[in-house]
Amino acid sequence: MVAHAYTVAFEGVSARSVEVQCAVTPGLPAFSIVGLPDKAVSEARDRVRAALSSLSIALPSKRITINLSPADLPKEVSHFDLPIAMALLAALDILPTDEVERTISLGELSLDGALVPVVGALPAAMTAAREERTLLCPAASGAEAAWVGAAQVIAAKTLADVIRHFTGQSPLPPAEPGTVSDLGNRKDLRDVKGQERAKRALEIVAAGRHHLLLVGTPGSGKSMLAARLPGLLPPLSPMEALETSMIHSLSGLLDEGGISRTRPFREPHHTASMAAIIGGGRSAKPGEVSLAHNSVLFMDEFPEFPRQVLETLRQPIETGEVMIARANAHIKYPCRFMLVAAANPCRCGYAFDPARACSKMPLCAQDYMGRISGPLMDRYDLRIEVPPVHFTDLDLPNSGEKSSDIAQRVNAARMV
Amino acid sequence: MRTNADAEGEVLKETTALCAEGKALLTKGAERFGLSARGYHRILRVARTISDLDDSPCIAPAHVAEALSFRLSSFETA
Repeated sequence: MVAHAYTVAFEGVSARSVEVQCAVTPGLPAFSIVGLPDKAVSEARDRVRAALSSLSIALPSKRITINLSPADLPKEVSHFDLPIAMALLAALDILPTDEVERTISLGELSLDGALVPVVGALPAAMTAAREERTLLCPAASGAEAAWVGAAQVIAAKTLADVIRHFTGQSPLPPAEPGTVSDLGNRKDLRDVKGQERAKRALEIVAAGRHHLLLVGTPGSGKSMLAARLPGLLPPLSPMEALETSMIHSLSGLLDEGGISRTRPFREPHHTASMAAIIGGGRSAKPGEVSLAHNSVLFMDEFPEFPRQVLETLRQPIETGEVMIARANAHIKYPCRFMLVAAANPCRCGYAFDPARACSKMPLCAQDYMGRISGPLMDRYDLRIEVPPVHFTDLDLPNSGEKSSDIAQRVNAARMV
Repeated sequence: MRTNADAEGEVLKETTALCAEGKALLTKGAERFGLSARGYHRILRVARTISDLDDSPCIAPAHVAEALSFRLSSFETA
């Protein structure tokens, strides 16, 4: 007989449902998985066999075939272990087939039958809600999946728990959503002495999601200013929080299932590769631009990034989404970020300071700024100089407005 | 549509109502600094944001001037 279980495969931020069919037929004993599994999915065979034998369930001496349908969609992650085990247990009449068919499951098995957390539980829960199925996932991923209120989410610690749940011996309670992690931004704009013009620019970009370029001598407070931008932004709306968390879920960045209402502040180092910034790699993972969706992408030492990386930013800045085209997939990720870039005016850094500028001025500065191409420069709404701060000024009391006051004004302006 | 930066085409036209003097200054500024079409619209959006922060009904010359001032710097190579 053929038993069916359901799981998902990821295409960008959306999860497509995948049917796992299991047939146990007479013939030479064998256990095979078909339907474009990659190495991690093929190895599920050995994990499932070991996990079942740890529960004293022996596989029958028959021919076991697992098919992952649609068969032409590549299956790439290790979360297929649990649905394969469930389809197999249903085919062996250990689990009730109708219950298994009403469930979308995902999870990796360890050899002793424990369920290992996997990435993407949140998008999977969205799919489960759409298809009106229950989601079964590892206990550690349950908290993030439970945020999708429309889906019933069951989180289990071990395969034995799953069996006891479906056979009605000890049903598992629905998973509770994780806590909203809201550490708050403790960095206040008042910490920055002077720089009133830069503060005003930060207020404007926060209100309108504009892109900002800060140019200034080393140690003038560019990074300090940028780090205080998230404190000026209103908390993410529930819809935005879900969008951003979906991307973070796919990258395995959600801590203990907590969905954050504070806007993430992403600051990739200038040695980052193109795939790390834009997204890509073998399975077309989201990059920094997408992780900064609805939030701030801070690129320090902007001209030091590889030229190719900088030029690829042009399209995402303009359209707010990034299309990763590979031979086998076209995947679209949202990336409506706010770009804040910081740069020194020249290689030695003191072009604005006549007393300290080197002899190669102004050629040196032209050359250094020339690394940022015209079209890219054109995409910055605001470009400002950050003048150096004299050290005697640092002893002065804090000046200017508090972050919270500016945040109120920003929030009011965003409402208009 | 969530922020001013997302405004495009018709929406941009509708939302960025310029006061008469604001319009004149923007045209002058655009000509003087040779703004691209994108640059022009970006200035318009920033000016709108500044007027929002000011809680003003339309974009006044002061808002346009501030937006222009943030756009131009001495390190400008173009």
